[in-house]
Amino acid sequence: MILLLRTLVRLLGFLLLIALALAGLGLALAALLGDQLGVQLRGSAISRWLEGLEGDDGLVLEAVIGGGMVLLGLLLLIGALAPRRERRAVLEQGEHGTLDARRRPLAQVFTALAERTRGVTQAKAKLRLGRRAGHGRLVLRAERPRTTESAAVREAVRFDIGELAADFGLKAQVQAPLGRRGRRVQ
Amino acid sequence: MSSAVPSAGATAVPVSSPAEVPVSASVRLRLAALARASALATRGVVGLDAGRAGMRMTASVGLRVDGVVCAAMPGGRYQVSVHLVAAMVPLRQLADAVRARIEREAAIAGLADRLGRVDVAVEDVQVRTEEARP
Repeated sequence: MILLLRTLVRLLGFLLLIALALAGLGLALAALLGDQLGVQLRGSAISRWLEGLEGDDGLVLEAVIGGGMVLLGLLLLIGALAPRRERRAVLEQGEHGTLDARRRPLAQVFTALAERTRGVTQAKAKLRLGRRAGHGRLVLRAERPRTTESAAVREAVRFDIGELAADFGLKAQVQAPLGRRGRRVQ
Repeated sequence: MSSAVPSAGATAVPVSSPAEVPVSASVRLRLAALARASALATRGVVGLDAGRAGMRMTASVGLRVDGVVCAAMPGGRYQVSVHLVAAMVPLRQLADAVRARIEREAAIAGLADRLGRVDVAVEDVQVRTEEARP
């Protein structure tokens, strides 16, 4: 998503700069040499449109365009200001070197570990990493059948993932809702 | 295991073994090739990953080592970053095993005094339910 926004920023930034430069040049020429060039802004479509905006008439199209431009501006800001470096889960950091892992595969590991736990029909791990190394939050949703107790499943999953989560400095939260019908226990 | 076509150093020939690197090649490239072979020979390493754009690599004199970034450090040593795809194994032990093997191979190649810190980056994990827990 961020990569897409960055590409959008570069492309739109380039096009908008050219459009802005050309519009500015045109307006400057019209203002300075309007009489010689035969260009008259007063009474023109631009002038009438600006007068319409100042008036009380409901201009739905302009409002939609304005809102769209605000949204586009926000997206461009996110694309320009979002951190460039991917956050990684750091397992160890020392003079011998660093051991770290990307967020997504690590979440897959937690999912796989939870799905091996007795009484879990399906699991899904969501991992949010903090700005500082060794900080993050893991939310693990482990679905269970009716025949098992929520607390027991939560405890079992926490036991299976706890060591690894602690190694990565993750605060783990385990949820054990009832799974959908038809799913089998691991 | 990068499926993407590398953009940087795309014209360079990929190196899969230290034997393919001439002795006259730079220490940086020799260390990178050595680290790649060592990592791939370690149990629990499924492959190396050069990234989507193929930027995680070391290139020199028309040769390229994918999945290993070798950078010069002060004091004439080189920092080696190995970007790997791991199996479902204990990651800390895996990193220790990779480091130990790289250090051993560097010593055999007479490059022990040029090897700096070894970073291990887990880019992907191949999850298989029948394997042991990490």
